[in-house]
Amino acid sequence: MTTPAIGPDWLRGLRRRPEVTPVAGAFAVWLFFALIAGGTGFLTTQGTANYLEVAAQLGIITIAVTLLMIAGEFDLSVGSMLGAAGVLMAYPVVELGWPLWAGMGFAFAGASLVGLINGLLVIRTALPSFIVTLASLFILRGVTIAFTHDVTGGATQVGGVDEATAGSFLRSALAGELLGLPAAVFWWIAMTLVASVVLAKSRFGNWVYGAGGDADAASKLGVPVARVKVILFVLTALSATLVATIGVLVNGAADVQQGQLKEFQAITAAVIGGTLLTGGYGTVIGGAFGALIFGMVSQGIFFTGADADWFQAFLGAMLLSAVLVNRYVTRHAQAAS
Amino acid sequence: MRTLKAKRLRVTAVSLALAAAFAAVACGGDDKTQSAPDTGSSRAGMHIEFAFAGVPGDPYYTVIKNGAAQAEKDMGVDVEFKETAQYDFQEQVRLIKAAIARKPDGLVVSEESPEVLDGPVKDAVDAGIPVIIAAAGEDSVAKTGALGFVGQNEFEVGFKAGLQLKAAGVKRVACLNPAVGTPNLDSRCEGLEKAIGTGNVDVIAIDQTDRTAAKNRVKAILQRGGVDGILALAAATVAEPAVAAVEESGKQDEVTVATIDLSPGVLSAVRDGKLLFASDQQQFLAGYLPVVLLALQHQYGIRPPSFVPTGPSYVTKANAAEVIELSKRGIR
Repeated sequence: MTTPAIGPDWLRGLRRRPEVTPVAGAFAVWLFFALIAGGTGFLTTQGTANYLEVAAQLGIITIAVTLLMIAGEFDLSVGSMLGAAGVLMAYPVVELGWPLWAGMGFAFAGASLVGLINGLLVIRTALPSFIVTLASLFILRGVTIAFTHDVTGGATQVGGVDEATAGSFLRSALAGELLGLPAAVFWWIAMTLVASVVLAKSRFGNWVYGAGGDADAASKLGVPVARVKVILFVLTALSATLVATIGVLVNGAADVQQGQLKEFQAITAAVIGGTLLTGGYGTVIGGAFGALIFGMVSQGIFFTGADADWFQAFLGAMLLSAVLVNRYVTRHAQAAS
Repeated sequence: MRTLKAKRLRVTAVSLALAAAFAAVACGGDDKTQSAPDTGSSRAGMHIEFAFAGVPGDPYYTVIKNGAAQAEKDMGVDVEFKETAQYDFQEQVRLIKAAIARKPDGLVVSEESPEVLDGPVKDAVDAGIPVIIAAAGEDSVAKTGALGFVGQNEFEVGFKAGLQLKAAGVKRVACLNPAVGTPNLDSRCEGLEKAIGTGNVDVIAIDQTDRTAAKNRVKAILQRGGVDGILALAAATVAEPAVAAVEESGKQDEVTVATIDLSPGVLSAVRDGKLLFASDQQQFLAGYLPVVLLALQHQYGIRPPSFVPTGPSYVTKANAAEVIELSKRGIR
């Protein structure tokens, strides 16, 4: 208690626990909807599965986006990648009769190429990734629309996925249900845990922090900054492809318009989760709770019966307050250390 | 332009029949002297522009675009389909202003947002460009001096859909609206409410770019309870997730679902009895007929007075199968 700037002792521990804010935030949001909409099904298994499914699909992308942001880069082409990957996977499966695994392999290969191009362009041109991937956002969406339109002779969707993939094991692994929860939720949780361990315990994890903290210093210490960033761009495109695949299998159709604004939703979730826009700081667990908050807000509002027009306003307010609380906690924790 | 020409559209029996039927109506007679349309003299080299606020790739606008492309071929005129990159009316205003500067022989505009577009459309009319409003904006014909409107009355669409739902015993309907605030979609919900009864329609905003979120929102509505009917205002992106939501909630027997507009998924759902009906604007006509109208106006100075309705027509279990093939090809 030497100066007023120093917070209480318990805050000191938060410096290494940046997840505390999003976890508390998620609980607060849950409590809010439990009180307002508890009687209308928000608290039931179905209600929980409802927002968890939305959170999981966003959360899987948020993992990779968080890592990329920690490494100091953005990928705005995630949403377009999601639309593109859906078509890349569904078209060969439905129209050319490929097995599901081959269609998925094709989509993952295409995504790797996109990620590689994004990464190499950012590294080679030294342009901000915000600009480079903004260009990819438009190019990828445009190519997807034109390609789909052309090969289908005028349509912009590829339907009939259910019939084409019926009985496939991969299908149940990605789009099935377990304990009343969609498979995506388990993929999300498992991938979050793996990515957290990698980020916190492995050499690659240190490299990610190094690349985003001070790239020059990290390079001098032998961190392969360029390689780390390119790998993360590829992982981001792959994560969008996994979500696209899950979405196509769950919903039975690929559609060139899917995934718009997902890039900003993923960044929103990462930032609510405590990741800094400037890079070098953030956690995967935080991002996961950011996605959870996003899912609860986006679906919970429909349980309340409130006018859904308010959803975006509510979300914006959540984002702002999450960032303000994060900054408050971080400052006090740093002042206290 | 290039994309339109590159489109591999087959000449279909339907569009040929439409062209023939229209030519017969437009020529004001069904006598035996009717010959092949004169594509030679005065409409050769005619240039018609479309300025639409459609998002490229949106299935609904794609059908309109395909209709325009087909008419370009059939009528032997030059058609340029311009659409905005976003669903953005200010951008559409810029398209219209650019068209005024180029002074095409005909301009086709969709007016989803009359308050923004009436002014620029009137400017085009004042500049001596023949304008047809298509797909949306019936009320703007009088305000702008456009030659006519090709499309459907949106209030009527909602009203008639509502009557059918009511006849099926539905008491309270969720109106799933993917673009709350656009007058043509809002009119559908209003028409629905007129038919079902004041206070018995809940307007629900639906996100079209995330099918999982759309589906789960409908699930939330169903779980909250109270509605026994759903009217989706768009097909693939709203009705398909809604059907899935009803099935996954196990409420097929309690909730009746219907939709405005078509998609392959909607059509199989109608065929399988999961949707009561799909109200069809036949928006291929909203791309096709304006070209025909403008070409005939240009060539002979003849046109039908004002409103040419393209819908609503209905796809039910009875006729779903035959519509399916055409929808796959972006014609219905």
